[in-house]
Amino acid sequence: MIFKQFRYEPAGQASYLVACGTAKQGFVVDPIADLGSDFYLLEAADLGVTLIGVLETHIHADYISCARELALQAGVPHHLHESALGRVSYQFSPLKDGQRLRAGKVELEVLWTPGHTPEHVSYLVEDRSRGVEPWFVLTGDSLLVGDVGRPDLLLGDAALDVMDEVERAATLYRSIKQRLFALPEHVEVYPNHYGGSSCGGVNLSGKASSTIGLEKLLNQPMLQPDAAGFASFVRETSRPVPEGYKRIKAINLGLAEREVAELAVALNAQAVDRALTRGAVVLDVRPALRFAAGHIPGAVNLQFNRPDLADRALLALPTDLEIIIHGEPEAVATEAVALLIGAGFRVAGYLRGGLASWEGAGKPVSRMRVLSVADLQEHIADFQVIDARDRHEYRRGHIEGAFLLPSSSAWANASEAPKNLALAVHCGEVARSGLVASILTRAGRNVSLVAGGMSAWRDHGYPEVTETAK
Amino acid sequence: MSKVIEDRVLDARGLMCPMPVVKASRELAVMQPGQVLKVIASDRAARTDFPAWVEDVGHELLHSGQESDGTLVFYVRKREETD
Repeated sequence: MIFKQFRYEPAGQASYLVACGTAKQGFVVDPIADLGSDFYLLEAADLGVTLIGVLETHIHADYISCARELALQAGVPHHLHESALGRVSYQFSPLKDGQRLRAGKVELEVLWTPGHTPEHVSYLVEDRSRGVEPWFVLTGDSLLVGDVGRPDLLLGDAALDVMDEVERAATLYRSIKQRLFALPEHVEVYPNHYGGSSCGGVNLSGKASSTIGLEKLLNQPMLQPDAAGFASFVRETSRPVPEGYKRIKAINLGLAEREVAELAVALNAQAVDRALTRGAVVLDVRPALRFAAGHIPGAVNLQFNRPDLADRALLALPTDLEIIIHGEPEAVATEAVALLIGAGFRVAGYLRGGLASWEGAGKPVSRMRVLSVADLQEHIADFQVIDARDRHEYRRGHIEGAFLLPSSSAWANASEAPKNLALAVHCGEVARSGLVASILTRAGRNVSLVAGGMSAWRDHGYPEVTETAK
Repeated sequence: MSKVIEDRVLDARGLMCPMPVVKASRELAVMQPGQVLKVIASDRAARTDFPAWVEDVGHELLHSGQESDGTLVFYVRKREETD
């Protein structure tokens, strides 16, 4: 038996390779596009395993699947439960409840466990080289460790959703109680999600494995007295709905296109220029001061940071924009592409060779004036100060006359900035001011960036105005 | 003060502005009134920013502190529903 769990931490997502160590054949289960089909092909190749199928437990709403691409590349079937027929736009190999899939001595039994979604299945695995006894079950988003997969991720289209939230919750309860909890207690549980994933609730464990026996004892939602108690408990302990999930689900149903392949596309300066002409926006993920020193005209600045780049982009920008990444070095650019595609943005690719290649191609470069807080204080009458922080920070202390333009609303409200003077944009330090300053520059304003922001202003002992909280 | 026991922990280390506040807001949204959220943050600006936000939205800042490595820790009690 070859068994590998691949964890993609940013999404709290687990995918699997299950293979026979003798026959060297196996299946990949629930592959994620953030890791990419090449990742799974290389993992299998390292073990000398030939893939014979790509399995999915269900159609996901919180991450983009690469099951179709992987199956296509490997030349093997892509399996989903038969009830997905008619709901997805692509061909797949339908599975029936109770069907068995074999890879050498390893056997997988399909258990239809609907609820999180109507087509949801679990895969019960036996290693026949050891005996005819189930060893573990891949539960997808039905039974999770400490929690269950939320039943409320609906598209709002009854033909695609099939069941409403109430029916899904009741069905999920039955699937777990009657199918999964009927398995022997020693059977190990390997879920599709763990930790911070929004597909579970607040009781979701950071540990990505358990056993049927332990979950029968300790799984909080399933300890509720009946299906109705289960449903209300799940609703009350859900996390906020994952961002962009409708678009991700539509992509996984084959109803929406990712404009771009799952791999980062390297674009030369001409290709970037063409994309800009058709309305694409360059997202420059370098630090704000490097952005100020030289950038592609019209670029929006949002500093790279793996844990939250995607979250901050979702707060700041609409997801229907076509985006081109400018990041340096290249590894930062390709990672930014992956993070933003994972969040549901349309990313056309990244600028290959960075600013040097752009300048080398004879393209124009814009620069932004940078002011120290001392410069600003000395010439304050020449500027309209723009405060890019949030209202609670502004109330606690701001520069006199500053106009509040929080980074999360700057894209929509850039035209509201006062038009009498040149603008000087600051935030707490410099991360959000780079974003807001770049958006205001796009809007045609004469903008300077204040280095060091409110922290530096205070360190110099310059005056500020406070408002009492409401 | 007596030791504060948290109901939930938000590890916001490594997150940039305004994500510690955004994420804390999301966590508190699914918690019960009276429950306590512990927030760990590394962003320097959070030291003033976070208490200001807590005050603004009407939650109660029970305790705040700084570890020797500069990590900031806040204990926030969710306010009673006022609607």
